[in-house]
Amino acid sequence: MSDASPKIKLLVIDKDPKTAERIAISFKVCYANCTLISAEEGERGLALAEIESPNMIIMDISLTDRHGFDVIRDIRLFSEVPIIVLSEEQDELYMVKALSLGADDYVIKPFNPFVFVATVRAILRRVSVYHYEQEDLPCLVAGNLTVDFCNRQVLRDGNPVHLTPTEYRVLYQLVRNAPKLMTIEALKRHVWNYNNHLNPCTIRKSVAEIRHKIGDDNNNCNWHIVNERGRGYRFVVSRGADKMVDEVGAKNLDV
Amino acid sequence: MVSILVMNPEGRFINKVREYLKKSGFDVINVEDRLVGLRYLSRIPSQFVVLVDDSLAGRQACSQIRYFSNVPIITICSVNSDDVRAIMLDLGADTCLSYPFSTVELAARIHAVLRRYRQQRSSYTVNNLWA
Repeated sequence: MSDASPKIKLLVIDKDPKTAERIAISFKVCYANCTLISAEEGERGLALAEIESPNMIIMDISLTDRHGFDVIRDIRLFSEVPIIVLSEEQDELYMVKALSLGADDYVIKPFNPFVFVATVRAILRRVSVYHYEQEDLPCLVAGNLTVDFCNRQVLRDGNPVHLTPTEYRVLYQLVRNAPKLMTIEALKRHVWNYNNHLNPCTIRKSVAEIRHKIGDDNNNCNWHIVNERGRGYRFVVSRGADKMVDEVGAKNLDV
Repeated sequence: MVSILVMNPEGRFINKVREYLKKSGFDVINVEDRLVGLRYLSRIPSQFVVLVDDSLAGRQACSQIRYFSNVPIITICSVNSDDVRAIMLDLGADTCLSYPFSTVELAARIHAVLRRYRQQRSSYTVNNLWA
């Protein structure tokens, strides 16, 4: 999810070191976990793109040693990483050429940091819906309940539980933020995407359904979805029962 | 053939652009009413949406599309404002253009976004098979 500040690695290829600096400043605002690598020449940038496998490449067209178009073409030979071209050139022919060679976007310098970050976010949204949700999300195992974030699956006593997409999103938010309180507002924002016309009963019903399906209603469980009246819900696990296992561990457990 | 839904409430989309897109091999459907556009999109999946509207209702339409569909959206703003751009991008648009723009640029951007979109779709299917 975008506001959980995913880890991203950016590669900036630009002969002017100030550009990398400006990009770094704009990114620290939205992506606290962002790492920035920079190269001033095309060759070096190409090498870094291969070694470091960044999530995104931001590059200039006019480089000292090679033409930017050649660099784009060479990157596309081995990688599908998103490329944003950042150039002083306002000519649309440059833009069309860069886009047709495989760049994802073309931004003219000087850039507005907010628009630039929004552009990056838009592209990452396209690219990484798949990557981020897959990567390094551990499974939650609490007693007889397993929430497998990687496979988007909920297991109760080892048997898969069928949750509707909304119910899964609610459970996801509660479990990911446990044991913090998820306020009604936060749930609305993350699950229902700021839908202000949402009937409050809908949230209540979803939570009730989840409780019913994953068996929160019997007392032997060591985890509960607790309702704080008028404020929100929290997912609570009793002491000693919870452990976070990584992907590999979870697979072993499933077997 | 890629079908493009053009949502164009104020009828600003120039005929020339439409002709150009048709010539470039796109199937263009022009809709003037936002609701009609949304309804159309929810029933007949288009491969691309061009939203020529940055008013409040246009922004709403953009986020409403994202509510049920992952279709690529290009918005065309009437003013060259950075704020509007950032808002539209955050509401779910893939790229933002502003008047005046060239038809060549529009087509190039549509191709660039489509390329990414197709990759994403193929990675989804791979993912499903793997899971």
